[in-house]
Parts: sequence; C-alpha cells; structure tokens
Amino acid sequence: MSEIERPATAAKPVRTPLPPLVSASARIASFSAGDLMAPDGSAVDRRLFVDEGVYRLEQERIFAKCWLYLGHESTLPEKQSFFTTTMGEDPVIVVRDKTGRLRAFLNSCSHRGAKVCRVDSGTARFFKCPYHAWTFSTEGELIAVPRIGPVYGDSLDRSQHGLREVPYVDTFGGMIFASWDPEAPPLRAYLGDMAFYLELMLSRMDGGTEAIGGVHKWTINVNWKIPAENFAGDHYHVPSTHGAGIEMGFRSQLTNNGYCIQTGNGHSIGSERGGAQQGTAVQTEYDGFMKQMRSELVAKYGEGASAFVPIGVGTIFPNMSFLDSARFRAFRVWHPRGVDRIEVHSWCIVDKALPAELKAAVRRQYSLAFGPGGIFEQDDGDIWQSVQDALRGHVGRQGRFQYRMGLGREAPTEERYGPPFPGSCSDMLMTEANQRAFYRHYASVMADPTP
Amino acid sequence: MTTEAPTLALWQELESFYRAEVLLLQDRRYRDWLETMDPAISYRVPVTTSTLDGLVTREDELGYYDEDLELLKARVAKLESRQSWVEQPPSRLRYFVQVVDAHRDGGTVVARSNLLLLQYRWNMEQQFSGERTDVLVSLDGSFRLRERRVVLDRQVLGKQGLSVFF
Repeated sequence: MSEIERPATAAKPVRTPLPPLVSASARIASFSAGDLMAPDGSAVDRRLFVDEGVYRLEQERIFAKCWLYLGHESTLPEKQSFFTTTMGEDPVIVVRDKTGRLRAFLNSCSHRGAKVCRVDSGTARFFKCPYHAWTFSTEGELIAVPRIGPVYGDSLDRSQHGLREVPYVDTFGGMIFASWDPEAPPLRAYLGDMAFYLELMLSRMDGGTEAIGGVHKWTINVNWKIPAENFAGDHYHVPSTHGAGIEMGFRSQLTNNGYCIQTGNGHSIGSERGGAQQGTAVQTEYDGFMKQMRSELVAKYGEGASAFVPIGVGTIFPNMSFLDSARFRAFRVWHPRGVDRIEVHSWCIVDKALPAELKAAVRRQYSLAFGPGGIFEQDDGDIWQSVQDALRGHVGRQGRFQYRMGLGREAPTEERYGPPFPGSCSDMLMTEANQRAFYRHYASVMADPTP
Repeated sequence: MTTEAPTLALWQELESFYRAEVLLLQDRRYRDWLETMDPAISYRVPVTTSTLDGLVTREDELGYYDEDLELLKARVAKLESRQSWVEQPPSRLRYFVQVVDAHRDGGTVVARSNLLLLQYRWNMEQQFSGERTDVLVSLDGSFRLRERRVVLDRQVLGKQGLSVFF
C-alpha cells in the first residue's frame, strides 16, 4: 500500500493509506492498466464504461469476490422470511433459516437452472422449482424430487444437489452483506475504517435502524460505476445538476465547506457541513432531531465532531451507496444489468425509535427528493443516461474522463477534525479525491495477479 | 353512508372533470392542475411488492409519490425551473383515461379509472399504465380531487426518471 500524497517534509506517520497507485504494466482484461487510467486515478479511460471484456471481468473479480450489500436485517423479521435480489447479475434468495441464521443461495435450480423463487419477498417453508418441481428447504437442501425412485432409482444423492450457497453472509449494524469468495476477509476487515463512520450513521438512537417497507426499483441506462463514483464524492455536480432543487428551496446553494473522506478499500463519504439537503422548503421535525444528535456527538468527541451528523453521501465499494442527509437517510444498490444498464434498488432507512409520525414524514421527504421520481434523483438519472449515450460511438469511447480536482490536497482526517476520525480527507468539499480512491482500488481488484 | 349506483348525470360530470384534467396534465399546466385539488389532498403512487400472495401495495410503505398539497406544490415548483433537466427539453405527453366504475358515497364520489400515459423525450420514450382510484368532493358545482391512489402495472420502473403525474 502506498502512503498518502503529502509533502515529503511531513514527518507524522499516516494512519490510513490511499489505495495503491495503479501499476501501468498490470493487465486488466485485454488492456494494460496504464491504457485505462492514470496511476493516481486522476484520469480514467472512457472504454472502462463500455468495454464488454472489462464488464465480464468485473462480474468475476468484483461481483463474485467483494462483499456486496443485500438488504436490511429488519426486512427479515422472522424465521423463514426471505427476499430476492442479485449479487452482480447473479440472482440470490436471502433467507433467515429455521434456526434464525441469515443465509443466501443462488436462485437457480441445481437440476436445470430455473429460478426457484420468483417473487420479491415473503415467508416460505420451502422453494419449489416450477420447471420439474425439485424442492429446496430454507437451508438450501434438496428435500423433494418428484418420482425419484422410478426415474432415478438410487442413483441420485439428494445431499449433493442443494442450492448453491453464498459462502459468507454477515451483518454490520443491521446491514446484510455477502461474498461469494471463499477467501474473503471478514466483513469487518473489508469495511475497514468505514465501519467507524457507518456506526455514527447507524447507532444514533438505541435500537438502531430499520428499513421502511417497500423498495424503489428502476432502471437507468448507464454503467454501474458512474452512479457509484458519483455517490463516492461528487459534490461538484450539485449546483448544476440540481439547480432546480436549489432554486425551489429544497436545499440551499452548496458551499465548499465540508469534507470528502476515503477510508481505503474504495469506500468513501462526503458531506457539506450541516449535511446535504439543508433548505427552507417543506421542512419537518427531523431537523430538530438531527440537531439533538449532533450535540450528543459533540459532547462525546468535541466540537470537530459536529461535522459528522449527518455523515453525508457515500459508497461502499463496489456498488452500495447511501445518503445520510439533513432530511432523510437512504440506502441503495446499483445492480449491473449489462455494461450499459443498471437496476437501482433504493430504501428509506429510519431510526427504529423515531415516533411513527416522524418516520412517515421522513419517508415522504425521501421520495420527494430521491427514488425515480425524486426531484433530485430524476435529474441525476437523466444526465447519467446522456453520459452513456455519448460513449456508444467509435469516437465517443476515445479519451479519458478527468478526476484532477483537489489533487494532492488530501491529509489524514484527524489532522483536520481531530481523533478518532479515520481516513484521509481534503480541505474542501469539492474535490475528486474519493473518485480517484475508488478507481485506484478498482484497478487493484481488477488487475491480473502478478506472476 | 349510502352508496348509490351512478346516474347518467354523474357519468357526465365525471367525464367533464377527467377531460379537463387530461388537458391540464398533457399541457403541463400544473399550477392549474393543483387548483383542482382539495387542500386535504392525499396523492399516492405506492410501490408494488410481489409476494407469494400476489402483488401487494401497502399504505405505510414507500411510494413513488407520497404527497400532500405542500409536497405536490414543491414538485411543481421544481419542474417549473429552467434547470429541471429531466424535462429539458420537455416531454410530449399523451394521457388516455377511461372511467370504469363510480359511485356516490355520502358526500363524495369514488371513481376508478384506467390510465395509459405515453411519454416521448429527446433521449427516451416510455409508457405507463395503471389504475387510479379517486375520491372527489363537490364544491361550487364542480369536483375537487381529495384523494388519488394510482397503482402502476410495472413493478420496476423503466428508464431513468419519473417526471410525470398520473
């Protein structure tokens, strides 16, 4: 791991390194890494968003390896509750088994591949494949095969034909993650120092958080990395992309007072001081609640901590993003559906102990601003699609996107906000430091192992 | 509360209300559209969840729209901005509304209608179909919309954004 970029005279050791510089000679799909990006992540080739070979490799090295967010524990309240989702493009069933343990299985029959569950969520004692009626328990075991005696004799060992199980499922503060990689590090290690900030977001009140029922689902014709890096740290887009939302007062004009923090492994957060979506229009009591939470955090860690309620917008590598704003909190996953398309799943997350009326008000604030019809998100989606449209041609895929903003201005977060705040941090809000960290980590995951 | 079968007069009154509303919506005269609403309007387009018991919508769950009059006004103010990129350039909209059932319920009228909406923009086209259940109240000889609940037929919305009303 390389050290953070800072003047050579700085003597103090740095706690959190940036992801390694990209080695130009490393291979990524049919390219050398140097063809795809600048070593420091400050320029990224346009082909990274349209190349089919890169996309196939992402399915293997990112989506079948990294810890991926599946959903919130509160949506599986009892034994044998389940929901369906995808890990990359692989469909999975996430279920609380008969003993209460969280598990995830490939949603594909071990016999001939049909989906054994075709609904979003519910409670089930078993999953029966509609193709030939092979039936699986909530533990993934093959429990019934029609006419097994006459058609198989004793040649079918049912114990060898369970649903393919995701080897690791774990939770952090109610967030369920899973990894297909038998060699995956523990979830806590994968989250690294991001866990500290997640905890600030998830444990404001006793009892933790819950997801409001229902999931916003919609598609955008864009490569999955464009929204993931936007949430990682693109504050610069707010005054232009969201000019309409500023004009009508849902949020105030963006200042440059805030932080972008990356904590390694491609994870990052960023926030304007006071939080995103501070504005005068359509206010709720949530404002007062957040002020209370802020003063509690300041009492614990000192004045510097006031910047961390709410913690802001962030991405957990690769494709889970969140928005902890002054008005509401949302989680979302950018599921890849081909190199030029995503399906977004988005939830509104509230503190369990909030009064029911305030939960309902926060729910309405979220769907006013975010989700497919949100007065902010509708403009993001529209512009992201136009990015992808512009990359389809022979010429449009040539050249590089620029991520040079704020280059070299990162320093350890605790130098600016005091301990215990981890990661590296810029001295202004509008920087592309987090995108650079995202792509540097991306390259380290995607590159062929060196012999 | 008594429930009466619809009379010819009621059908005509409803036809007239919905024809006028179609014009307001497809011309995007949203300020005028808000004038057709009762101040206590509840305007909801809930998300649909597919379960083992079929397609389910719940009142306490997320909506694509989940609005009172104040929030609807906020949306309209946003769409009026020149920087509302999702409608720059504006969509061409075509609404088809068919009233399929109506009855008087005390002082209100409950009307169910089918909706087909076609949207064409510079970079995409999409269609929405769904069922509306409206509660209308009479005021000065015309209807005011007090409640609208729209269940869209799609479970996953297509294309990049939702910038139309139903």
